[in-house]
Order: sequence, then C-alpha cells, then structure tokens
Amino acid sequence: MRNLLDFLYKNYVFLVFALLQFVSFYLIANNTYYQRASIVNSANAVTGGVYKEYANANEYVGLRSQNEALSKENAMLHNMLVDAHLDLTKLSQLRNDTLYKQQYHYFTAKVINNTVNARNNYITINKGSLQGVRRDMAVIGASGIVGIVQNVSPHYCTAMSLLHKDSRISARIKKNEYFGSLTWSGTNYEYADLNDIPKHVKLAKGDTIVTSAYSSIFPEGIIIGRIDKFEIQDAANFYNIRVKLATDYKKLTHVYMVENLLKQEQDTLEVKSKENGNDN
Amino acid sequence: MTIETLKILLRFILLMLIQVLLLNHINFSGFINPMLYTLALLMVPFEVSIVSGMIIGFITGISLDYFMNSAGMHASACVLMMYVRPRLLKAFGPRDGYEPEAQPSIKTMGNMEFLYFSFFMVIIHHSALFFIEAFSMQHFFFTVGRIILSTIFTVLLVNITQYIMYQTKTR
Repeated sequence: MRNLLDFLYKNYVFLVFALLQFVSFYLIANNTYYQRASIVNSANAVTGGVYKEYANANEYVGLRSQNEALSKENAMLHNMLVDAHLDLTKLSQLRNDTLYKQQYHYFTAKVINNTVNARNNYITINKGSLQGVRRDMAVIGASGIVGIVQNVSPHYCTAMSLLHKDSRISARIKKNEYFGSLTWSGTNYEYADLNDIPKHVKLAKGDTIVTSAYSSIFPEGIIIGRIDKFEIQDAANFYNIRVKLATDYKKLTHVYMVENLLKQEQDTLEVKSKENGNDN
Repeated sequence: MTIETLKILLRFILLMLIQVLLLNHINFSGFINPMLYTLALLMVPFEVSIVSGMIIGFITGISLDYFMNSAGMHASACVLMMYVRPRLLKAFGPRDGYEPEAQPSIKTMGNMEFLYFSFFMVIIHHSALFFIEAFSMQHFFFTVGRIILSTIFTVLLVNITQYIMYQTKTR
C-alpha cells in the first residue's frame, strides 16, 4: 500500500496527463461513429448563441448575392408549377389528390456557422427540435445537397457536412442510372470522389451526379455535382471519378431541411428483412 | 482574484473568440488554419505548475471543441502542449530566474528565445491536432504539409500579436 502511494505521489504529473488524455480520446472515440450523438457539439445554448449573433451581424454583407440566388430559385420553382405548363396532350386527365401522398416535407433554415477547412466539417443551423428538426434529416441548399443533421437541441442543430470523413452518400449518374457512393478525401472543398462505378460504363466530363433512390435521407434526384475528371487505374474494375460539387460550401446561408415522412416505415422494413435474413 | 488574473482570463476569452469567429473562417489555399488561441496558453505565467497548466489547457481545448465540433481533439493537443511546456521553458526561459507573476513574452524572454519557444510549443500542438483529426496515416504527407504550413502561420501570428501587445504597453 505504502509503495503504491509512493508510486502515485512520484508520478502524479504523468498520471494527471494520462487521465486528461484519456478523457479527450474518450470524447473523440464517442464522436467518431457517425450514428452516435456526441456530447461535445456546437448545438448548445452558449456556442449556438455566439454563432447566431455573429451570423446576424454578418448576414448583411452577402444580402445582394443571396437575393439573386433566391429569386433565381423562385423562378425555377414557378417553372415547375402545374399552372406554368400548357396541356399539349389534349387528353382528359383526372387529377386526384388521394393518389399522391406527400413524402418529403421541406422547410427553410439559416446556417449560422460553417467550416470547410477541417478534415471533418460541421454546419450549425438555427432550427432545432422545437421547429421539428430530427436526427438524420437531410439538409439541401439552392444548388445541391449540403449534409445530414446529426445533433439536435431545442433551438439549434448541427449537421455533418458532405465535407466529412464519415459522409457516404448514395449517388447515381443521371443519364444512365449507375450508382455508387460519394466520399470526400479531405483535400479540397470543391471536389468529392465517386466510387464503385464499374469500368464498362461510358462516362463524359460534365455528366450530372444526383442522389439515388436508395437513401432514406435524401429525396431522389437532388443535384450533387458534375463529373470533373475520371480515370481507371491499370488493374482496377472501377473508375476513380472526381466530382465538382454543385454547392459552394464557402457561402452557405439559406438551406432547406428535408424530412422524409416515410423514413421510419422504410427503415423498419429494411431492419426487419435484415433480421429475418440473419435467422435463416 | 487579482487584476492580473482577471487580465489573463480576459485574454483567454478574447483570443478564443477571435479564433472561433475570425480565424476559423480565414483559410489560405484551403487548408492552412492558424491557431492564434495557443498564444493564451503560451503566456500562462511561469510559476503556474505543470498540473494546473494541463488543466487550464484541457479547459481551453474543450471550450474550443464545443465551438468547432471536434470532440476532444483540441483538448488533447492542448494538454500535450502544456505537458511539455515546463521543459521548453527551462530550455529557453530566463536563466537567472524571473519576477513573481511574470509571463512568457518577448519582453521577459527576448525576441529569439520567445520565437523558439513558441515554435516548439506550436509544432507539438499542431502535430497532435492534425494527426488526431486525420486519424489515419493515409494522407501522411498531406497532413505533414498541413502541420508545417499551419505552424509557420501560427508562429508568425503569435509573434506579431506579441509584438503589438508589447508596443502598446510601452506607450
């Protein structure tokens, strides 16, 4: 016992050091798994409040370009309305609302903090659980996808940006429906990598990449970006594709939160099938 | 709580706010991120013990982690930096002792000594931080490049800030 106390007394500096490092790494390890909520995040009252005040003050600087982007998007949305189209078929058609069930619910939010220069980037958004934000909701911008909600507090939420080590988004090539997963290598915030496209597929520079229907988070067909460069290494079966991202992560301000109203149904079914598969 | 402690506390808060609101949004060529907040830890008074130093480092680091969503990465790097601080202070600090409550600065240590001291402290901090952040050896040379360039910018900023602080005090 005496020896133990002596040992502790002699080495207490190192022990304190080890203890503090242990706590740090415990927090890091808890945060590494994408599915687990982290304890340390910027969706709390103090940090969220500081970021909000700063974003409020800063918003005026970008008002002009924001207005332009919003009016452009408005115009695009007007174009998509049924009223904006002439019926050229002259066939009588019945439009019955009970045939369509709304699957995605969109609402607007504002980005109050955002980084692009870390290996793992996060976005803090000014909507929280009181406004209906849930974990794993999709975040999209006017020009493309942005990220996935990770932590939610009553008034704020943080979203994992596409620019993250753990982000893996199911994407497909719009023109031929081949799908792969989109990851970010951490070097440049303008480009991401598309993997798992087999080498027999014909590609061209500028092909549009959109979200696939396999994700229960993102709606199908949201633009991700365009092919910038592609190559095949000698013996590989898959392309290395570099995608120029459609979203400019350096000037995110207004985003849309997307809730998949049928997500739970899809997820429960998929988990159930997996469990059944394991039994057999 | 003396006036001096209050001043140090204010400096911590000010430097951390500058870090979070300003410097984290400035990035030269995409990945150089200077960490001016390390200056607050560099300037912790000489007489603060190694254990208190590490605890101060942990609190500073974890506060920044809260802002930057980085879990315990900054905390870990800061604790490591504060762990080696007394050794570096012994190597570069004033030989013939110092006044009570004195703080490491270009005034108390001299220009070159403070430059060396800050360089070694910052490169330890950045090496730990960026390797924990990458958490792999996959982009080894990219990470090393990031460490070196960020260290240069941080050390420059730290020394320029020191110089400005020293100037205003003598006026």
